[in-house]
Amino acid sequence: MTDTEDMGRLAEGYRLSRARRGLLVAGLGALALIGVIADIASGPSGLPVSEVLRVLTGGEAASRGAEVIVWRVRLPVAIMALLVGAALSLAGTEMQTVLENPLAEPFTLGVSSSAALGAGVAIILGIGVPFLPAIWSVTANAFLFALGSLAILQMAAGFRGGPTLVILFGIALNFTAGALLALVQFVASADALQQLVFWTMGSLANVRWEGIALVAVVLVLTVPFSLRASWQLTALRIGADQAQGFGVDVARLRRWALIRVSLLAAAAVSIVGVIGFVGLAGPHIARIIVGEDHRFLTPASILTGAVLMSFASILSKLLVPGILLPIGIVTSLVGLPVFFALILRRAGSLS
Amino acid sequence: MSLELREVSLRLAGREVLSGISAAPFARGEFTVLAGPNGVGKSTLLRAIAQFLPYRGEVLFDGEPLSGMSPARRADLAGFMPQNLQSRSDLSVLEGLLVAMNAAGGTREGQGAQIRRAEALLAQFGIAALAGRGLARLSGGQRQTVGLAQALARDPTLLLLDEPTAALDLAMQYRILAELAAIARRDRVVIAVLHDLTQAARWADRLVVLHRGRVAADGPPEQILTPELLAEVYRVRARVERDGAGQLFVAVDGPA
Repeated sequence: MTDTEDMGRLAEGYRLSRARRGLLVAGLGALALIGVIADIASGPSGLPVSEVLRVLTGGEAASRGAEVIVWRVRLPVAIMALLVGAALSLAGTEMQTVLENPLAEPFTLGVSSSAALGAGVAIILGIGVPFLPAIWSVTANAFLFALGSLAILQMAAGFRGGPTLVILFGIALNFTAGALLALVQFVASADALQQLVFWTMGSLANVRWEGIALVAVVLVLTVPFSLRASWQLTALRIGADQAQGFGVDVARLRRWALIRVSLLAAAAVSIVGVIGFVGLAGPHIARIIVGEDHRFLTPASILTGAVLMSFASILSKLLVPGILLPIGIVTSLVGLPVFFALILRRAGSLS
Repeated sequence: MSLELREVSLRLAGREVLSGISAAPFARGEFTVLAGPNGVGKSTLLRAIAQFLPYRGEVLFDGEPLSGMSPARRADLAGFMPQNLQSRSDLSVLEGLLVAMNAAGGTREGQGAQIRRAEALLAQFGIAALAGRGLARLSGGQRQTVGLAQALARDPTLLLLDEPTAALDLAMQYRILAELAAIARRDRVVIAVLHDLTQAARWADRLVVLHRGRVAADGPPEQILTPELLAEVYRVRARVERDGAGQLFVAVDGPA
């Protein structure tokens, strides 16, 4: 009798925890929305939130200036921050799951540094994809190099040796790309060097709608497949052997997840430059909030990444008044202590 | 009919692990124990049957090759419990069971029905109290019991178990082996790797002993378990005797 009562409570408890996690994901969505609006409102010429909302909803703005600032200057940056954060965090989540390593993300496994190498080759050596307008040659090169690095990781995944080999390849790749980039920098002119350094810091300063469209399209193409693979990815969190026992084709799951990661990381990094930390912290924070069930974790980490980047974008404007800091610096400097505090608190509660 | 193996061969890292394993069909209702020395290919054979490793030859269920089935169908047909059940996951035992039910896709059962079935499975093995426990926090024996429940999550017709009792105490060993025999009686094909031949003799309807990538002996345990077989396969001097209750047991006296 008590046994069946216990069971009823169990089912009820599971339903409650599912509802709670659904609410948490919705809360993250609301936070992302707040982040975007605050991002638009913040900047050298402060706009009241009410004004921002009025302009965004098509109402009568107090001045022509406000309209221009919102639509031409701040909205693209705010949306780009959101999308790039989402893309990097999703890429990190899938990498961490399929490579069974909490440190895996595009930055640690050399994807970002390969993109930087591609950018360096374009900026400094002037070698790029033919027939492309000059403003896109850096992005195109970074994109191709990032894809190339992920193709190498993909190849490593094909060998017997499993995820550890992929991690080792990624780390080797990171150093190799870094060394090659240093070599390219060595022969660079001062002018080109400065341009490259700016790029490698990660910046939302030169956002264009075409870039936003690229990242958005990649997200639209990948997110549905990520969500569809939720159960399989969760199974892999339990263990590769067990997942296989549950009927998951682990090699295939890995292959497709890495293809999604390639597109997400290459698109994000090639357009805004090197941004570390979000791909690592987004998934970890999301996991702390909703747990490992990818039905909740995937949307939660997409939103967490978006929120992190939105607030990093706000901070990049406010930290040093009058100066727009490269966002890559902000994510690392401000984000890391927060991240460690979260991890340590959690580690404390576990032991 | 049911499970058939025809000339199953398999190479791993350039070494031939299985060389042409053929066996009489494993019938529904039959509990088979797969035995043999360490490294002889028992786990490999289970993995080949479960289609985790590429092999030559044929693995058929009711005449249909398992290799041609969709992942969902294969998961409905065959449940597999690996030897390594370590997990660092924060998921609860209940969540793990739901994952086992859904990971291969193709389930139409609602979440409520799945939770009820998961609870029933846990109760069946006496671990209902573990439902909310994190998978990473289970003891070795609990892990193995949970692993067995996970293998049964889709109510498969064919159950493949790699050392299901290795980490269990005497009471749990008895409980699990009795359960496996009972599952087989309900028209299932159960194949388990076991090292303990006395347990095999006690519970199995059929014993398949592998040696050097081939089947060295195959039949009812009381017929094939002989000192000669044990000397040849395991290189031990052993007695195969009956205890007061008429139960077969194997006693090892030293190296051959």
